[in-house]
Amino acid sequence: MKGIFFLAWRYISFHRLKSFILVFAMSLVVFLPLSVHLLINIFQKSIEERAASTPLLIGSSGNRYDLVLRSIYFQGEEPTPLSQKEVEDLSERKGAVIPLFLRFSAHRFYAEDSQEGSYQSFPLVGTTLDYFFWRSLEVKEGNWPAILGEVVVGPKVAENLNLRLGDFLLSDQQKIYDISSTYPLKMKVVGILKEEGTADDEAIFTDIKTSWIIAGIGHGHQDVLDEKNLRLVQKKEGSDVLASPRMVNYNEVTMENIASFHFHGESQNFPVSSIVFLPKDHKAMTILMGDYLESKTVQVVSPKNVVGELMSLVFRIRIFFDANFILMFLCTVLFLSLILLLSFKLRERERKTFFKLGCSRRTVISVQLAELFLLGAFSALLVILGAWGLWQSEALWIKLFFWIA
Amino acid sequence: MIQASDIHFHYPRTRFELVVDSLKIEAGEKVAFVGASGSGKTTLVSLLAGIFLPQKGKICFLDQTLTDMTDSQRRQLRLEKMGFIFQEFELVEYLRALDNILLPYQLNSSLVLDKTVRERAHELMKEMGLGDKTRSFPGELSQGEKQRVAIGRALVHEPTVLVADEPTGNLDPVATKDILKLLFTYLEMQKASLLMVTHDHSLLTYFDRVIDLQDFGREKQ
Repeated sequence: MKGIFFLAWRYISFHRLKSFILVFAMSLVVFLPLSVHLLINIFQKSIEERAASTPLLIGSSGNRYDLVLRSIYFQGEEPTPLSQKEVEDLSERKGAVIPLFLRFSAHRFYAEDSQEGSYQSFPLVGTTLDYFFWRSLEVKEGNWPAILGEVVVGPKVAENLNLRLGDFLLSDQQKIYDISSTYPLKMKVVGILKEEGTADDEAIFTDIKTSWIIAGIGHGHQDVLDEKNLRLVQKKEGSDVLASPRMVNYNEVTMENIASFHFHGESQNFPVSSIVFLPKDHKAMTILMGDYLESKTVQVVSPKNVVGELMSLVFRIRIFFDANFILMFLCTVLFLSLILLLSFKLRERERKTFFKLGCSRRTVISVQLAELFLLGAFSALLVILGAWGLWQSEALWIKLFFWIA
Repeated sequence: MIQASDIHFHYPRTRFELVVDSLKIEAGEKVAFVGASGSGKTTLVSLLAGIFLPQKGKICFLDQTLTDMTDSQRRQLRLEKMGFIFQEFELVEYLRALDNILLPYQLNSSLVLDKTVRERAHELMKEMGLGDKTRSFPGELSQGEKQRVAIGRALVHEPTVLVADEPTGNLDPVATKDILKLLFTYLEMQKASLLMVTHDHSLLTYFDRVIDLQDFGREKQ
């Protein structure tokens, strides 16, 4: 047996290129369908687990896929916002309410003289502390955001942006050519989350009020009614004050200026992208779903069902892939068989020599079968390595799926 | 050592028949088989080596009747007691020179490939002037070197009989003489017999006996 494998190995190593092409072709024909199945399974597992842990999601009527993908995985388009009034209305029901404002993203803020320069952006999630407790998130370092302008970051964000506690993030400009829009807000990193292997690892979390400041609903500026700043008042009629453009707007919340931050307008009208509702019991959930059944402006969805629909679409596409792979597999097997038959014919003289020397036909065939076995083993190894690579880059593939979706 | 009597052999769908009434080869005897192309030289040698079986007759090798043995027993006997040299050398292109010499050991588990055998193969290569070619592939060797490797492969397991089918057919006269000298030296050392098919009548003086196949071949009745 040792001699047979020795000869087989020698043949393979002598015909390196031919063997490599065969191994590669055999690996590819197995790896392609396998990788599609594996990726879909990775995607399915990841997407379904998180969806199943979110009982109900309330958002504006419209694309339910956008609502779910943005609210649960922080990917895709922001759904049309609801108002804070919906949050208040839901608060009266039996269950917990967690508002999410998902319009913005942020990148690392660098000092002017800094030599570093990664401007990769991550989604900024404006929410309440309840979100962290519901998702059972824990801070690895630091604290939860306590005041305006503070953020906690997911471990992947910290790693990618090389963030430490006390570093700053800057909200991304939504419309860079709109000079009337609000300035980006500089936010302080006060906590880094423990890794959970979910979308939370790649997000930045702040209080929803901070995200409203970024939206321009709230702001902080010099107190024009202060005696020192009277020169900034251009006009005053009763309680209405017209300030000079020289008045300084704060783009960072500090202990010195935090008191000056305030919001304009009715709080009921403040935007929220979606609302997570955690019903107290099944009855509360059924009642809520029934109440919103006829609503033309608001939709209540079960993320698990929406993700189920999405996955059934993916599975339908997979059938086409499978059919394609089966045909490709058959073609490759036929081609490989042809190559092996030709090779077998070309090596007839070698077989005859072995036979004349006293080697049995069984041994001669065994040598060639051992070659096939080794080629198969190398192909299997390549496939396993490829599958392992796919498994290791799980997060990357999930991102890619979302990007495609 | 080899005894054949009343041998009748023909290939399927041919009219040629080889008939040998009686043939005896002694231990250590060097026999040349000559004759025109198609006279059955290679066939006869193949019969004596147990590669083919005659349709009729009896062949004995070292007190064992080849014609009564199973295919597997004959193969075993060939591997252990015989060495083969072919005109086209028949070296395995993907094996290095040393591995080609040791090929019988790779093909048969009853031959034990141990340190002694390896040392003997190395020694054989050195003596044949191939000491620096142990790691060369056949494609990197000259014709003469290839034939020397083939001789090494035939001799490494110290066979009782060496079967050579026109071993010098592809060599120039100088290389032919060198190879034969080498071959005969080893045969003397190992006290082995030689059955050699040749077209080259100038070599016949080296042999103890010459058998002309013209005497054996005939049209099948």
